[in-house]
Formats: sequence, C-alpha cells, structure tokens
Amino acid sequence: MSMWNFLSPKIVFGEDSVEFLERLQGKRAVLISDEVVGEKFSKILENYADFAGRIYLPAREPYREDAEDVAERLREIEPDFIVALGGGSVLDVAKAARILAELDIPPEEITPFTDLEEMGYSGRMKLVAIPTTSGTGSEVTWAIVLKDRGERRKIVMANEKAMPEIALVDPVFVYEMPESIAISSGFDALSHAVEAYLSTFSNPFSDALAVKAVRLIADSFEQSAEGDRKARENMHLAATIAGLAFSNSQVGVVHALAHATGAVLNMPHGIAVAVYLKPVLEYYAEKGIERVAELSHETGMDVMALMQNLYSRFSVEGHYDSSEIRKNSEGIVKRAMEDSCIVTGPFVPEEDELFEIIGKVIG
Amino acid sequence: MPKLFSEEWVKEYMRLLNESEEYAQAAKDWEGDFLFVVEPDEGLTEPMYIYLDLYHGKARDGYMVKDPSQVSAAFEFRGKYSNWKKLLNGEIDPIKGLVTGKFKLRGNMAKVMRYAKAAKALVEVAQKVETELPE
Repeated sequence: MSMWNFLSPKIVFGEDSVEFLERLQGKRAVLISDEVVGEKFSKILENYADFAGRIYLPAREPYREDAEDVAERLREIEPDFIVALGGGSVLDVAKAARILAELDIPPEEITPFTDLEEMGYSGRMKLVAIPTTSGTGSEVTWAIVLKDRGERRKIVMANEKAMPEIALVDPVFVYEMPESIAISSGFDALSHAVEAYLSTFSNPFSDALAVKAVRLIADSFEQSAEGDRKARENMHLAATIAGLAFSNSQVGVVHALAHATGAVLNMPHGIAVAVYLKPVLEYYAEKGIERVAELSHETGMDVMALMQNLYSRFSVEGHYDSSEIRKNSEGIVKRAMEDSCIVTGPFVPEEDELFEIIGKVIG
Repeated sequence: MPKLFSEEWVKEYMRLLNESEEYAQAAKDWEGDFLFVVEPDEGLTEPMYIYLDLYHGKARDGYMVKDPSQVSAAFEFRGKYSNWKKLLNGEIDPIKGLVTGKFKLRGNMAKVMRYAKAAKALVEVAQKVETELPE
C-alpha cells in the first residue's frame, strides 16, 4: 500500500456535548446556521456561548454565491471561532467560507491538490461543526459540495484545510428531526459507509469505520425514522462514523450520479443518493466486484438484502419521478462523468455504463 | 526500449495516447498543455522535462525540453524521480500521489478536477510505454 493518511477533527459526542461550547467563552465566535435550524436551536447554543454575529442562510442546498457571501461577512466580523450548526449544506458553506474569507479565489479552486498555505491561508478562524441531520458526515470530512447555478452542476471540492477542528455530535439536535429527513439522510449515511468500503482508496482504517457504520445503520434506521431516541442517537453516530470512513477513503459512482441528478433536477441529495445506491450495487454485483460480498461477510449480513428491505420499507421508488430522470439522462451522464467521484469507485465507468445504471432506475 | 522522457519516449507515449479510445473519450473537450518535470533523486542527477500539448482527446505535439524557462505551459506536473518510477509501475495512484504531496500540480485545479478520468487515463497510457529507467 502506498502512502496515505487519516484525517479527523476532535470529535465530541453524546448527549449534552453541546456544553463543550462553554470553552469558547472569551473568544470571538460567530454562528452560521440556516433560517429554520438557527431559529429552532440558537437558544440552546446561547446557554453556552456568546456570539459576536449570526449568519443565517436560506434553508436549501447551497450555491457557491452563498459561500462567497458568508466569506464577506466573516471578513467583517473577524471571529476566532465559527460555530456552524445545521445539515450538510450549512456545514459545507461554513467550511468553504472560512477559506474564502482569507483567500480571494473562486470556490472551485479549493481542490485536494491546492496548497492553500502556499497561497497565504493561515486557518486563523477555527471551525466547530454541529450536525443537525444524520447523514452528510460533513462535520468530519474535508469535502465540500456547492451548486453552480449557471452550469446546473455541483462543484465537488476537498482540501485538508477544510476539515473542521471540532465536530460536536450531540443527538439533542436530531431527536425532533422530521421523518422525511431522517430517511433521506439515513440513506446518505448508508451510501457513505458502503461506497467508502468499495472505493479503491479504502484502507484498514476506513474499512473498520465503514463496517461499524453499516451495522449501526442496519440496527437503527427503521426505528430512527419512527422517532425512537436511542435509534436517533445511533444513526447520528453512524453518520459521523460513515463520514470519517468516506473522508479517509472516497465515494464513487453513486455520488457522481447523485451529484449530477441533484443539480440537474434540483433533487435533495439524500433522495438522489437513495435513487442510485441499490442500482449501482446491483450493477457492481453483475460486474463481479467482490467487495460487495466482502462487505456482507464483514458486517455479518447480506448487504443487498438490507438494501432491498430498506427500499421496500421506505418506498424509495415513490420518492422520485423516473420520467424526469429519463428525460434528463444525457445531462446527468455528462455531469457525472465530470464529477471527480467517477474515478474513485471500484471501477471507472464509461458513459454507456452509466446509461445502463440509469436504465435500472427508470425501469 | 526508449529512455524515460527521451525524445523517443515522448513519441511513443503520444502514439499510444492517440490510440487510446478511453483517453479520447474522457478528454474530448480538454484544451491545455503540460510540462512534466522529473526532479532528481535515486541516481538521477539532472532534472528531466517533457512538454505535451493535449487538445480534444489527442496529443497534438510533444517533445523533450532542455530548458524549462523556454516553455510556457498551462499546467505543470512535477515529482521526484523515485515517485515517477512508482507512478509508472502502478505503485502510486496519481490522485493519492497529489494529495500526499509526492507530486505537485500547478495550473487551473478546478479544470483538472472535471477531467479526473482523463488524468487517470493519461497515467495508465504512460504505464504502457516500455521504458528504460535511469539507474
């Protein structure tokens, strides 16, 4: 195995881990959230921290302009700490904005290969990421996904410097999460764990995390959707563990297609991932990719049967319009082929293979 | 067998690249020339350079470069000789090599990110060139 590394923030987890924010007393902190989550939870945070500023985003998937606007505000407020509270959209904007606040570069220049320090980035604003959904794992990853409005595509960025310093994983923020979000974010977490295991970048560290995440999700997904608190806590941990798994391995074809479909059809990420996860795994099985069977062996369960069960239980096929996917399949394939995740799965597909996978989705 | 980064090596690389259907597809819209740099170590005493003009899925020009200051390429990809050997032997994934700093890339990074499959194909074709490595 050639040189690779394992990246992680400090992770504070468990009920009441929000108290960790008391350590920010005396620091200049700013809160980044969205209009819905910020309103709902800011009172909890204010028990522990004073904020020199609050930046609320629209409650939707983020555009690159959102990151640029937040960067401008950060330059005005000059905080020592950024507390980002929200789903993956908010956390991704915060991750991009703190870099853009220091560097005048287009967001898409934040790549895994960009030497931000050489460009003058100091990382003077520390980032505390608090997830309020249980799916993206953004609190522990170096990845950022923003939408490009003009090109109707998602810009997938990543850089070691985008990693938050602290991930605060407190289940109090997901106990009342709406059922629909519990389901869509649950599929996102599951896809991270599975794709991390299947990626050619997988390694013993990411494998161990992926296997644990799949087990936790298999045990807790259905009860979490029904609102069970213990299951919600398990899914919250599983999402973070799956985030660590894929951040230190990679995701692949499922995410390339989901990013493309999400951008073209304006489909929420969790739904887009659910659309493709099972069909892509079926395609892998048909191609004889052995890692799917290895994952079943490692987790002690039939992963394909788990997928089938979850798809039936949550009626995944009723949550998207296959005719829209059919109508836009050329644009989806084109964008998926331009997505960096296309090369990090267990095989690198040709365009016609992506059309075959889409064929499984639209029937 | 051509020596690494010799004139003969570049011509053979271009020939294979221009035969590659996979590269042609993945890079069909690509426009941008590269300077590839081998930095000396492990028995290599002088740096080596080649220039490659990549355009719409084909290599339309390429040659060995003696003085890199005479070349202005949109992208530069550089790494130590020992790491180039591992890359050409398939021991280093090009993306992992860049992430871990074994190789450095200069140029429009955002553009490269959209052509990840083409970049992978570029390396895979280079691995097919039968190469005599300097000792």
